[in-house]
Amino acid sequence: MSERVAVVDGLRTPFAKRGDALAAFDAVDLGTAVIGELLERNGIDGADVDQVVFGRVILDVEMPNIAREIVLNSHLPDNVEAYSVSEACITSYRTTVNAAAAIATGNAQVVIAGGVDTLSHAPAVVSDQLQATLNRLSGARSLGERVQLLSKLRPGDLLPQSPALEEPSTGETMGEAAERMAKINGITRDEQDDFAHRSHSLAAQAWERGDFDDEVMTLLAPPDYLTVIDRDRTVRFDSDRRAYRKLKPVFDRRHGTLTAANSTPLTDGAAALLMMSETRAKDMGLEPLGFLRSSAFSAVDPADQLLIGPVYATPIALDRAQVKFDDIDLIDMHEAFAAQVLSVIKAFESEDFARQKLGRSEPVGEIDWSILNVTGGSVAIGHPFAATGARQVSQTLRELRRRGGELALCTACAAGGLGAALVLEAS
Amino acid sequence: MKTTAASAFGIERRPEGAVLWFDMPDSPVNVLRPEIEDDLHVALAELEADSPRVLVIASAKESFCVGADVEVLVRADGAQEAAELSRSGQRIMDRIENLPFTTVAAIEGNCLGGGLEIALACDHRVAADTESTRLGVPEIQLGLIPGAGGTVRLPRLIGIESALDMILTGRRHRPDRARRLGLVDDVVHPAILLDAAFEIADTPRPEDSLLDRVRTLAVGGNPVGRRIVFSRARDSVMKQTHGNMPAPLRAIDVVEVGADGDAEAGLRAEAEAFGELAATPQARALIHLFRSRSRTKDSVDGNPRPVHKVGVIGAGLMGAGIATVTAADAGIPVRLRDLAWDQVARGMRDIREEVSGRRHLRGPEKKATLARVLPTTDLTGFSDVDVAIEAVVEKLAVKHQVLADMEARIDAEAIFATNTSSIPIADIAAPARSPGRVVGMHYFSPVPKVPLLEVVAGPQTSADAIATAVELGSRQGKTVIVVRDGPGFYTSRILAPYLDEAARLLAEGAPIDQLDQRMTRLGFPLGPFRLLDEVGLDIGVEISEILQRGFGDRMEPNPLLATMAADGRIGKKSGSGFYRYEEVDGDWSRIDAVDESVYPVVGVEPAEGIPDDAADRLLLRMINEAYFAYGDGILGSTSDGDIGAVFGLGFPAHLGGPFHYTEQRGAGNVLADLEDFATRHGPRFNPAPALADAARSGDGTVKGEPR
Repeated sequence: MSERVAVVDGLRTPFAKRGDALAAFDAVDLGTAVIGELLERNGIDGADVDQVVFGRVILDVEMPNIAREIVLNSHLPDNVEAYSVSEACITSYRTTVNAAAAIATGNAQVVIAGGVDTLSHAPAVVSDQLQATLNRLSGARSLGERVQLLSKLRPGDLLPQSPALEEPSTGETMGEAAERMAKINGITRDEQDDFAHRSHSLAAQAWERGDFDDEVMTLLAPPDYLTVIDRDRTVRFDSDRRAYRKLKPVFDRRHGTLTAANSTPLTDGAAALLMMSETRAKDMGLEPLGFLRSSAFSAVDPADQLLIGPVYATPIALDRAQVKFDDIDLIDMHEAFAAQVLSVIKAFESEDFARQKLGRSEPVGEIDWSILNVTGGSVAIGHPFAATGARQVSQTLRELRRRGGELALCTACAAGGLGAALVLEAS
Repeated sequence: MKTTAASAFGIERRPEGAVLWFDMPDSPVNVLRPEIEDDLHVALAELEADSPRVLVIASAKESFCVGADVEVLVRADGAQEAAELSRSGQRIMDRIENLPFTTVAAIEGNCLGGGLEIALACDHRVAADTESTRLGVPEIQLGLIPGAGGTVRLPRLIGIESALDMILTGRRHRPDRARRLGLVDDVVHPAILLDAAFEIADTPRPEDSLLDRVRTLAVGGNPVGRRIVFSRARDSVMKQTHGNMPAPLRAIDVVEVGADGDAEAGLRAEAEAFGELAATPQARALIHLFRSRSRTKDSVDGNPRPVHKVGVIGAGLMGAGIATVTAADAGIPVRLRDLAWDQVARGMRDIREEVSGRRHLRGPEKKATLARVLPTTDLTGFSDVDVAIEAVVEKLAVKHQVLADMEARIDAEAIFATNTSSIPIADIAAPARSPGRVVGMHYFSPVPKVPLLEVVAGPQTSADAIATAVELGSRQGKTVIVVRDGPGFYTSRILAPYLDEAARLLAEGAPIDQLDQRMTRLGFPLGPFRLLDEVGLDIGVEISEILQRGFGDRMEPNPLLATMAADGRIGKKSGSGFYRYEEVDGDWSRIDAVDESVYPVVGVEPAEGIPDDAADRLLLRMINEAYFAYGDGILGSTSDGDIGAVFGLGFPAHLGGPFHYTEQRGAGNVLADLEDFATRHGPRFNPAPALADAARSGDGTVKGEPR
């Protein structure tokens, strides 16, 4: 990289569970709100923005390029180009890295990167039978032919179906994969519940201390705008460890350990980062939150441990940054499931795993719990798939500044056996 | 293209037919007036000789034709001359209609009044699908009716019901609506407008569907249905105009004559009615306002700063309204701030309600309009605003705080506007680092509905700040007048004595609802007490205090309003005022009944009726104060004063505003009546010196420059 790429600022909406307080916002609403407010807070004229790179996981067939739709709906000028990325739960890792690449190569100076997902607006899909009939209907020549085609449909074919969140290659859902990881790695129900309780407690404390005030905007919910949403609706502010025990396993009812409380909820929300070259930020008199030092992406066979990606991506990102695991002052590891984080940590610390899977002689590193997800993670805050990476970067850089550290790591797993890691440095 | 040097019409011959280009020399728009009609007769004669297969009438200007030249009407002397103007227009349209070949009007841009009547005389109409294309017959807004055959041809084309709606409201239709009404045959991209016009000449008109025929027959297509349509229209006109306006009723009469089968009789009735209406005081008043409105900005000579973003501080009723017209009408992004999120939330709700009620906006446009307003409770996002408009409470200390907050952030050249209704701009600007940037932008509630913006120039306000405020106001869809600084500026200053006189009448025993009804029958949209309830009695009292300090005894208010305000009855916002209110979703909604408990609070035993001169007492106090204001140099012109009163305060438009009305009634008569009132009711009616001057001047107008 020729020049350091600055993360000038980061902002997200409050997060809420599917069907809750953000249900009235569609993805364009959320994206527009977060980008608009991000620019306002930094006094950036929309005309200075070169590009918007935005992502979304639950796609809308009528809006394949959500990034561009957000630009057109926002008060950004129409000539701001925009493209969309969809890479499961590491989508906004990818948007961040792509924005950084555009800046580093001089193709753009001011880029907004981020992502949005609204599970409340997951489009329903039609049955294969209905789809096939519709295809044939468009070619039908006569009323008789149409009636004949339609008469073959059974009532069940007409029902819309929720898109399944499962691995197309294995047919396994995310939760089933995490359940499998818990068993392989011997992660107990208690360990998972402890972890989830920790996540909620830390997030709640961060909110109470006001740590999130600068990075989470307030939303007024349409249609009447009278509902003020100024905090995550996902975080349990009165997390009680005993309550976790009462829940039944959801993915494997007989032998399972994963419950709704130690898994991340289906979430609505958006997050965005304002990125620039270091020089440009200086010229505009802006003090960046931090800089992107290096990045890495990885992939494994989904039939293996589906959500193990961070173990693969992290050492590569560290090598690229030319730093050691022990140099890292703060870690935000995406919490898809408590079982998944705990599995990943076992692998981080395992010499066997390093030798057999990574071809390294040393384990990736020993986790220092005092620097891991210290203001809560996805289990508590929630996980609007495409927004999580940008949420992590913004939250981590702010915490890094508060504790006065130098280097931070953000890492996440994703569907398809993918993993991503970013090494960030403080200003 | 072949154009005769001085002619407004040129004929272009093409293989597929001829194009008659309407292109008035030395004019930005096409209008109709006698010499243009002469040109048209010459061109039509040439075409009659040529007999092309098809004739397309099109405009070389940005708009098709904006109608008859109002100046010609102003010069017309009496009903006969005006009727002759109408007949001459009718002759031209008849000649177009009778051309022995197919005629098509190719319409892009405004096609209004006489312009639309040309199109109606053609066999077909094709409109361009552009944002600026509008079709309508706005004559009613000048107290007139269409005079060149429109009252006969429009009902025949689109049916009586739709035609009456267009004629009685002056509504201007967009192309898609015009097509649905059957007003145009087709709507096409402007690039193929002429091609489509030639094509449509060869396309047989599609048969009306069975449903359309049944509908046509049901409403106006049969004698019984027609009678119902006309009688409903008359009822609705009477309800809305209280019989103050002759034009709508005459329009209905004329359409009825034409609809009963005989086009000739319809045209005769139209010309006669047009002539008589043109000579009415109502038409003269409305034409005066129309001409004055186009001249309000003549005196602005600064350079407006381009406005890309506006900051609005205060998300109350006014702030939300200002944000609405900025985002929706001007299309400019707004940073909207208030102190707490629930205040901002109510503001955003108001904005959404207004925006979602705008029917011509498509869903995505509504969404983008709302996304243009970025709410906040902090002070971020103001560094790049070009104009910051404060709409916080009317307290000088609070306004000064906002001024300091903004001056610390906004660009050195950016404008600070204050939406005060009464605090002198000089006082607000006093602590400013750059007082030249401080300008008054006095909006009226509800902002999206009231057309006026009163821009107030403080003693130090720069010409560029004034020009910027005026330009922004125009983009927000406002009619803007510029007034000089002074207590109450112009509008609040003349409204206060009017409201005070209402309070005095109440103190004398006048029943609240009866006085309100008297004033609405005269043509005010709201009676004085309802207006006080809406505005807030506390605001009313505050303004009277400021005015009394500024003008002394003449403005000493009757204590009645202060008594009520002290009792917590400050109007709708408190849920109690002159009328009764009930709570609906956290807001107060008016029940249509006087709150009888007011009378004991103000110590009044309501009388049976109100005095005969009650309305005149209210009117004359407003008028007299308008002359005081003019004499003090607050107004740039008396016509600005008329515009301000009509479009800001709801002074009846058919009276033309306080100055026009005085001239019509006779300045001498008004002076005498004031003197009489002064004797009977008190020295507050002592006439303004400027009015005495006007009375002496002979023609009733104020001579010379105000000082």
